[in-house]
Amino acid sequence: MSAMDWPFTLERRALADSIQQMCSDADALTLMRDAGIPWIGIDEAFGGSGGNLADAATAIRSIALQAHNAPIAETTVAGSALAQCGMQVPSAILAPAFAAESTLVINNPLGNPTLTGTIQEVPGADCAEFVVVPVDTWLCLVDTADVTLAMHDNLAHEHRSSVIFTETPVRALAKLPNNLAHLDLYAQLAFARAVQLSGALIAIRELSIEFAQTREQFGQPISRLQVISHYLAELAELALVGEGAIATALEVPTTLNFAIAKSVTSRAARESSRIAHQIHGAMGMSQEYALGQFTTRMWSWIEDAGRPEFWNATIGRTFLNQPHPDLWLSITDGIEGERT
Amino acid sequence: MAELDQLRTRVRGFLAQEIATGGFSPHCDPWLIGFDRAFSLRLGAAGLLGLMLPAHYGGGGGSAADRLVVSEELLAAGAPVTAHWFAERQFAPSILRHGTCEQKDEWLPRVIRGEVCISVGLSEPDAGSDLAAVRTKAERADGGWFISGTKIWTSGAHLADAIVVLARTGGQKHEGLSQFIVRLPNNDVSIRGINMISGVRHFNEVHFESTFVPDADVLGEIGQGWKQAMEELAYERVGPERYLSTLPLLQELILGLGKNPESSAALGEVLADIRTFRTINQRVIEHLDSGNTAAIDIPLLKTIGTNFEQSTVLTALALANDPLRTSAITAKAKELLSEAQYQAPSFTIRGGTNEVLRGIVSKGLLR
Repeated sequence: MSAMDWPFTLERRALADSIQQMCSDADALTLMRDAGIPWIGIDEAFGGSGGNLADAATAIRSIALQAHNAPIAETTVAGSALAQCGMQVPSAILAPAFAAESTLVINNPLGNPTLTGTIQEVPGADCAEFVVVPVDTWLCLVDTADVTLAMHDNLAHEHRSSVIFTETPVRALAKLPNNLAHLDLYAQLAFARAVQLSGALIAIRELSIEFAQTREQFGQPISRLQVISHYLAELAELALVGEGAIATALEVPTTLNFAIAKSVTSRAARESSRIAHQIHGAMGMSQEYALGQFTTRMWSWIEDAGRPEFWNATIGRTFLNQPHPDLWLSITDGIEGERT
Repeated sequence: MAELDQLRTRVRGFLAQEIATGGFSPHCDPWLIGFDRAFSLRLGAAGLLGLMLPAHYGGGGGSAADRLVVSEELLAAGAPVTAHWFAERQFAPSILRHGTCEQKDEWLPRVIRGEVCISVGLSEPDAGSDLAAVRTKAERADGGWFISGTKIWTSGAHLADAIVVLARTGGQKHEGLSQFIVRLPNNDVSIRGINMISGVRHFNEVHFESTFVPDADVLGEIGQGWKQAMEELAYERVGPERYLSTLPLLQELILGLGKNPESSAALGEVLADIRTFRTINQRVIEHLDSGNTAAIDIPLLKTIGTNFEQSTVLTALALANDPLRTSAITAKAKELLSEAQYQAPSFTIRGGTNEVLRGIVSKGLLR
């Protein structure tokens, strides 16, 4: 038993199991909607399913473990943003149009507001009923029917869109609270990707252990070769690091710890996908085999919502901008203004 | 949590006082190369040693979490903790678990006061990674044992009060090994220093020539030495000393750093990684404390942590040579940088090489 099995209370274990079952159904998304999965972690008072961030992370990770495309993480993140601004969360699939910096313009915010501009790389917009988008000091809810989408596939054949707003009417809006800037929202999306990556790190470890024990070369399972067994140990190291990064952010859910989770899981995923492909040889390159389902998602998620280099620079800048940047104090006690 | 925070504040107060009064100057890898008996005594007098040992012996009667707070504060500050480190980290828990009443009464209060320096006699010239190949023999004598053989890479033996020797009392490989407390200095123990690539002596070759050890100084049960030594290694392998060795250097290099985004990102990465390792370490130690072995987490965390601290030497070199620095690095930073470079290769070797540890992990993974 690993000391990092922390997230799994009995309830979360049951949630994870039921999601695993839903993922094997052809109409998984409907099943998950009916069970309220996309709105876990959002207070019932705002129209959510209740539960906390760790519950939401459990759901998101369970879907990632199945390499399923249901846009649950996207809805959770967008819905949670609405709730943080005191807005009602519709029982609908939502797309978070979040960016580190936005050039979107809001016209007439106090009358009949409209939006103009483009946000790129928006996940899940093609099947969402609403787009949630921060503009200036506002958070806006927009009907997907009122925008134009230019869709493309990422490496994992997941849909990403440029969402083009052309004097698009805003269906509802609220002021962003003082402690919720665009970058904070972007970090929340990054954390959802980090949770997915942590799931994929575990899936890849397990797939590789299984493969190395069944694949025979030189008259024995390749797991008996020392170099392969060490690769497996490395995959376990990387999965443990992923767990540690998520646990850190769940314990103290700050923007900085979300950024840390994205940086750590993304870097681990780069290593992990490289090693796992090396273990699997040619077999891992085939679409018929499961490995690519995870590695192509990893490559996409690493680049999504801020690559590790972006978040490292953000963390470092925040650290160095303190009047007396003390590395140890910043690690243990937080960076000035981190804890609100 | 509030109690741990209070304890942390206390340790920080102690360290601030030490620094203000010139009690020590920070070093990299301070649990291996920071030998200062006077510092250890001051730490003991401040009640910061033996926090997880029973109050009956003068200890704190607390948990491993308490000890972790103290250890990480000391290491992050680069405080010279070598003199008491092995005694407090692994010798005292082992005495507490396996020792006789007399041994507990003799050693534990002294460890808690910071008086005791213990060396660990495991490796031999022909038994490194393959530790079960130890050849040092202990032969039965009247009222005790005669020990003959050679231990190597014994840190601090030339300064220690005793060395805990793993010796063969019979059997093969893991069977028939036992542990003995050999008191130092000792006429029948010769200690030869080994100068490291830095030119400094930390390690020794220790030779036993029919060295007599009375029965009273047998540690634990005859024949259980392997199991006991492995328990000690669990304490040795998990801990902040596996990822904080270079922190004093990185801190020193921040002085005069300009606004180079590459340097910011490098520091951001260090901060992200250490926060992550701390969480894992805390969970693993809580797990150990509650009697769970978390068998593969310990070697996993040690390889992760030591690979990281080794890589921070490159980070440090990049920070030192940042073209946008507003001032050159300090003399202290230069000293710490060379210290870190000299020590770095050993990070992934000592306490079980990464290769040995990955072997242990993969055995645990394969079913």
